[in-house]
Amino acid sequence: MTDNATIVCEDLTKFYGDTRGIEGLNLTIGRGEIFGFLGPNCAGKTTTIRQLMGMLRPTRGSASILGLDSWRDAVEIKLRVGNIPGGVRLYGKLRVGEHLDYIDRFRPGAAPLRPELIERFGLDVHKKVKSLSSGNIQKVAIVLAVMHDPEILILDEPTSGLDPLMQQEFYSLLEELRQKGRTIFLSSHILSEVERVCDRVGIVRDGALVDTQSIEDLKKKKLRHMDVLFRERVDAAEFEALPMVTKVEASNNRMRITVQGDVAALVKQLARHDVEDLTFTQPSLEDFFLGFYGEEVDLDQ
Amino acid sequence: MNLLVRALLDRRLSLGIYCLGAAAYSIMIIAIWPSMSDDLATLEQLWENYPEGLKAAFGAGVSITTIDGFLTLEYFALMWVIIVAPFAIAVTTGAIAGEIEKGTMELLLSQPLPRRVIALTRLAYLKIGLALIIAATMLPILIGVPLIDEQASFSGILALSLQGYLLFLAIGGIGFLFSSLASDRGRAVFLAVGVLIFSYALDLLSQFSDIVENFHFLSLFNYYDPYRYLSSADIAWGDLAVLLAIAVATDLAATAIFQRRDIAV
Repeated sequence: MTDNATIVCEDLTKFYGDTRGIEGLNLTIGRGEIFGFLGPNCAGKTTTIRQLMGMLRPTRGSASILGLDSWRDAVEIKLRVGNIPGGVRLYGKLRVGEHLDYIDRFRPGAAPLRPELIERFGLDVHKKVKSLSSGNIQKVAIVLAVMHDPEILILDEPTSGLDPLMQQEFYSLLEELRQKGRTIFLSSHILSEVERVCDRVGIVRDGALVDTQSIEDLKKKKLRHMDVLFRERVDAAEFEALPMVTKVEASNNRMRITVQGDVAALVKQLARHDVEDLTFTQPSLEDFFLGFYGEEVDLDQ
Repeated sequence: MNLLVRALLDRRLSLGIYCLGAAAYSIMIIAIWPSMSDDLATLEQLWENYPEGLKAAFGAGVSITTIDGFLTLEYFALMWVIIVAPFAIAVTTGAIAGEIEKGTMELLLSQPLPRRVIALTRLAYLKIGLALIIAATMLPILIGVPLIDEQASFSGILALSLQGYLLFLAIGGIGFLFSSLASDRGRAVFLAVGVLIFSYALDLLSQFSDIVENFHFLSLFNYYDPYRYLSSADIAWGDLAVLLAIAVATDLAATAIFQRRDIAV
């Protein structure tokens, strides 16, 4: 364990009867880090988060936050942690403002970020919670978790239901929190989201942590496709020779180049030719898992 | 405190309806009495002609020709329980199982709140709510009975209030225990109502069968005797102690279970 370890899981295991939630999870997250927990549905992300938040008691092993045990010291931990539960449900009878008041009163002092967050996410505090769309409920959940400016945020699929504009707003909020030194643990099944906001990522599947990578390494390992249209016929061999290129498929003037890692040399090579058009696509999570595990993963389970 | 205030605010309407319902029934029963008591002989005859089973169901050895008996038979023996017990069961089954089912328990437990405090606050709401409903039941009787030129024993009404309070706390405790074990409210309600029906059936059948009578102590209603309290204010401390013990034991067990259990839908 490093000195600045903020969230630590040691052999964290949860079984529901015979069903595995998560097994043998070892993880250390440092102060000021944004850690992404990436995996398909039913991989064990929510089970892990519920154990961190003291909702579930580990079958084996332990989870701790700031040196406090997630189960035993749950109350003390929650004074310092903001949480967005997965598929969050709110009290429908309350108005948004009343709901914020209600949760606000469980902690000492007024919530410093509340007015700013209401403004940023465009919440109407007079609306009844039960009349809100799922996107707006998610916005309220974000405000509830962040308004006290906690040292640590634990977020289960925080952008679920948000429209793209609000997702961007949320990402910039996370960036600001990172600059303030907050530690953030977020689960997601969206690769581009994790890549965009996280420093490091844990890849989880079927109740087990498969790998932990820095985002830099992830980007290096990630397979991407570059589709190029040349004005003349080009020999595929000169691209196949490049170290970052793993595969070239050519037909007529078109070429699909599969790339892993830094593309600088590839761009130089392309510049020697007359390029008419070029697209460089991000892989989907399906592609990513295909590259990572070498097999299909059913993400809609 | 925040939790308790919120509970009182959120449920002020339903609590108000329970109080109004209980009070309205009290007023109605008292309003009927003068017309009934005008012809006591007929009333008594009518009562005597009831089948034994029906009489037993309402309470053996109760005379309908006194206001105490009339109140007991027409209200406290059964109707009052039917009005107030659902409140106790609704509050307690909603408190844990209901919130887990709705998914709001996860939000609540994301706040720095000990589970013990959540449980105790829910119980505090039950205690306040029941006290208000019982007050709403008894005040019209205390005020109304002298208005129709009858006598109501203040100590008898007080004694019955205490006994009823403990009975409903025990029923609430049983609901709370099932609530702490379940993750959906329907199951908790089903089990709590099951215990009530079992209690009532046992109470009824033990009037007819000596064998069942041996198990009468298992019925909650074995410890509830409204006529005795109303007519003589003679408190059976043993009965009260049993009801109190059931309430305390179920509350403690439910709180302990809730503190240890997983919260997952």
